[in-house]
Formats: sequence, structure tokens, C-alpha cells
Amino acid sequence: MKTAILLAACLSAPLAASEAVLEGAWARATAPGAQAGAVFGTLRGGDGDDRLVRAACAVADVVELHTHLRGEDGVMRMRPVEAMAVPAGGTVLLKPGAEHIMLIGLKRALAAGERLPLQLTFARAGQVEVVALVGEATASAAPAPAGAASGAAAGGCCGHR
Amino acid sequence: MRRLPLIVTVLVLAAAGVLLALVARREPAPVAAPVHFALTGHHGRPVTEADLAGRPVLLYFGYTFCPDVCPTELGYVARVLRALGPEAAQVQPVMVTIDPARDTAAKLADYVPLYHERLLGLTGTPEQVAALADQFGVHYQRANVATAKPGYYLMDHTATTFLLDRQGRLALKIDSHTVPVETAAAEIRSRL
Ligand SMILES: [Cu+2]
Repeated sequence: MKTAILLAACLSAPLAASEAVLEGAWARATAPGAQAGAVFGTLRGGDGDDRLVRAACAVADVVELHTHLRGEDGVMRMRPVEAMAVPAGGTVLLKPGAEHIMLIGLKRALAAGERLPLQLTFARAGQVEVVALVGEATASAAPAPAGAASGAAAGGCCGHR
Repeated sequence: MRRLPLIVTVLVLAAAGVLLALVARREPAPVAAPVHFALTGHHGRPVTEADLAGRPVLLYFGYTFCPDVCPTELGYVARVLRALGPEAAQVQPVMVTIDPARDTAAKLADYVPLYHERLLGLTGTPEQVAALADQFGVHYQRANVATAKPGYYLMDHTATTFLLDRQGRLALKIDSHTVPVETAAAEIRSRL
């Protein structure tokens, strides 16, 4: 009986990491004195439905969860959202021009090549540490060098929703 | 009785086809008149249309406090210029701020080189900026939402890139959301 439980626990170990995460997190370099930045990546759901409810970053005064509404007139409207739903087993792409984690009041510029730690809070998964790779200011997708780990971030392309 | 819906369907489909064809061709609005403006460059000196005369211009309206849409569009412009190859040297990329209250020339000077080495930043009084934006039907306003940082506001704005011909007339509107970089470069090349 006890063995069975242990065995089950071992077997499910690889899946035990089935909590919501942000994969392939990345950001863009910012200009000197720039006040704002954004973090993108792929939110991947775990075993149960979850929600990203909060984010924090040491280099920003304020971190908000944002989305973009694109009007028929071509006007882009960026708006804060209360939370980002992360469905069980699903993915949500945070990408330029859409959902993003917004850094407001940057204390310093973000430099290409640096690794930026973020603290994310999920309603279910709790607090999760994430490191975002900073790419060029003009990047449209996650910087390459991170290899397989950043493979999930297909970036500005095709929306794997 | 059963024929009528079919005819209606055919007509609707035909109309949709025509519309799609129009959209796909991205016909520029029929603006024949050359643009006029008096603004200040990121180098601090006055810039008018006379300073750009004789050169095709890629024109974008944005703001430096914009963390996402503007870097995205400026990155797109940079990639389009790269795709143009040697012909890119003829084209002057320009970003006009729609947030002149915060985007001083000095602020723009910090910002523009990050996106393209020849990107020209333009600012001015609210009236000067509005006078140029109006000529392109570019809309912008302070967003009606507060951020958690006191005093920090967002701008709603049109995110379209415009190509002006050598006479300063609108030659092409480019929607980076739907037009691949190579396509944009080909369309620009055909108008140089
Ligand atoms: Cu934002």
C-alpha cells in the first residue's frame, strides 16, 4: 500500500511540475531613461485552471498585467487586466501587441543579453520565480541563445493559442 | 423562394471578394497634397517638410513611454529597411511623437538610435504635432485608465506606418499586423 503510493508519487514526479508557469520569458532592451518595458513569453497551464494575478520586478516601480485592444480604426489601446487566465493544459502567448507583463517606472535601462528576474504570483501555483532574457530593442521574438528552454516562445509570429 | 437566399449569398460573397481585394491591395487614401509641418528634431533643430524633400519617408507616430507597440513597429520598420537592401539608404525613417508633453527632443535623442541609426525623432508643441497627425488621420489621446504609478499615463494611438514619396505625398499605408516584412519592402521598392 505504502509502496504503491510511493510508486505513484515517483511515476507522477515528472508531471508533478504541472503547475502554471511562464516559459521562454523575454523582454526588449530599453533606451536610457526609458520609463517602460514589457515581458513576453508563453503561459503554460498545469493540472488545473489557474490565473496569473500579480507580477513584480526589482527594476520597476510598478508591474502590471496588460492587454491590447485594437480598434477597427487601427488605434491601439493598452489596458490593465485584473488577471490572466491560464487554462489547465493550455497555453497563453504573451507577445508584442497583445497580452504582456508591463514594467512601469524602470529604475535603469534593460540591456540586451541580461537576465531579468521576475516574481509571478498565480492564484493556484503561488509565487514562481522567472528569468526573462533581454533581447535587442527591435526584437520581435525571444532572443535565440537560450536554446531549447526558450523554444516555447514563438514570439511575434503566429499565435499558438 | 429558395432562389432568393442563394442570389443574396452570391452577391454578398462577391461584395466581400471586392472588399478583400481592396484591403489586400492596401490602397492609400487619395491624399494628393504634399504634407506640411514645422517640428523639432531629436537633435534640437527645427525640421520642416523642406528638410525631407526629395527623399521617400517612412513615417510612424508613436511615443517613447510606449513599451510594446512602438518598439514593435519601429523594429518592423528596421526590418523592412534591412529587406530593402542598398535602396534603404534612399529612405528616411521618421518617428513623430504623439506625446509631446513628455517626449522632449532630448528624450527622443536617447530613444531613436536604439531602433535605427538613421531614425529621425520629431516633437513640437501639441498644436504642431496635431497639425501633422491630422494630415494622416492619425488619432491619439491619453488613455482613460490610470496605472498603478501615479502620474504615469498611457496613450491610445493609431499604429500605422506611412510611406511618403519624394514630393512628400502619401504613397502607401502599411499595416504591420497583416503585411509581412518582405511584402512591405517590395511595395516600397515599387514606389521609390
Ligand atoms: Cu502595457
